[in-house]
Amino acid sequence: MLKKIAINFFLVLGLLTAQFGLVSGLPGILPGINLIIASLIFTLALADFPAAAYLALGAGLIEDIYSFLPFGLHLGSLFLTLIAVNFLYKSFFTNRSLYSFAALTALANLAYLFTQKIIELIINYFSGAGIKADFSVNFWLEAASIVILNIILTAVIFYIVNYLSHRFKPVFLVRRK
Amino acid sequence: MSYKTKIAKNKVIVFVAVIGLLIFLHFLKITSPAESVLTYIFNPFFSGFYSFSTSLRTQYNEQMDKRDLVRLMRQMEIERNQLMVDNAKLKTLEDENESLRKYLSFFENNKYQYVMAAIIGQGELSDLGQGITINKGSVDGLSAGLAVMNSQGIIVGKVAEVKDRVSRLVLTTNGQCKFAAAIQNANKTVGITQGDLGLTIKMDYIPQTESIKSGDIIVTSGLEKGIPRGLVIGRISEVKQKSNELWQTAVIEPVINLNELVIVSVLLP
Repeated sequence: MLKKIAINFFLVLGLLTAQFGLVSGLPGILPGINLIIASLIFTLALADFPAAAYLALGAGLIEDIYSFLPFGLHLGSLFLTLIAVNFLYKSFFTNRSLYSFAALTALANLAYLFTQKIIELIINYFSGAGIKADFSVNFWLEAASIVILNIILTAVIFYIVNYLSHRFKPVFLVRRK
Repeated sequence: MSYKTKIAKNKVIVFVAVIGLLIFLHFLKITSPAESVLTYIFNPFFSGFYSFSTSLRTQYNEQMDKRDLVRLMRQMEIERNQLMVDNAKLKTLEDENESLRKYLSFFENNKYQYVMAAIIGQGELSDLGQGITINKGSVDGLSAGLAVMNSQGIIVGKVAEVKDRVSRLVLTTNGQCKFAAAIQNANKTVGITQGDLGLTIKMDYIPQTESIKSGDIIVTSGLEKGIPRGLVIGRISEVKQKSNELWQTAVIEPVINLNELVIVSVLLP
């Protein structure tokens, strides 16, 4: 258990340092890269749901500590995204191909973006700030750039994992006569 | 329901309960010490990586800006010549002022109290728009509304929100950032500057009778609590005026590149 916590802690530390310290300061549209979502998808595929859930819990908690949005927004949206991805992975995108991972990444990023927006709207409504939603052209363009960037990131990670391990390689059953 | 599905469902319920408990404990402030410890551990990593990504961004911007370099050089040459003339004038004035101060025993007191902070990240989906996060918070004496300067004493933004060990800044170009300011023209016109779309700063409602021009320097007016007068905010790049309107607007550009900030200082009251 202690080993699991330590691994999760260092994984979260590395991930968030890269995401918050490095990616957020990059030029152009590159800050749209979401390393946390990509890690969740690959943890789900390479390990299991609880491992990904621990990662979502740790990453969401640290994100919320540093965030100036209502506490729990990142924790909630990351976990809801993970549940959605798990459902899609188990029910539809089961073949562990690059296309499955690309589709999962696109849907996960959109789910994360929309869950965050919805939770923010709910919290604002109940805190008396009223309903303020920004769904302008800029929002959609940003969402599209985030999805495309993260699909590229997923493709890169997919090929690295494929090169290092056989987990994603197809297995054929040959009938012997 | 199969046994496997039941177990999976139970796991989800446990994680949801843990998240609910964490949120509940946060609002009761029971987790505050643990959160402080975590920020204390994470801050050095974040600030270290942020300065690395800033250098990457600066290099990228430099490559992109090369096209404008020739035009900029010519402009700078003209400005340099003008500054040389101004500098000579100011030197004479400085000498004069020095001797006057001696006579009047009047000592300049510009020793502000400030807290140095490192930037640890930027950007978040928030009502505040793009902002930056620094590694100092309320335990260091910071509060919302304090002015933030760079190493040269040029205003770069304001503290928008504070937590125990981190704070969120809005840059002068952010729509949420407003300053009581004065134009260094003949009349010392005062007004309020406000960020515009994260790119420039604007100063609205300047009476048409006031004479302002491109190149005029905008400084803090000192009319805002805790912010001394005379700190540079930017330089007027364009004056928008229409003959049928009562007011004119000044478009101000920051005199430094706000994307290259790594360390800032927060002025304490």
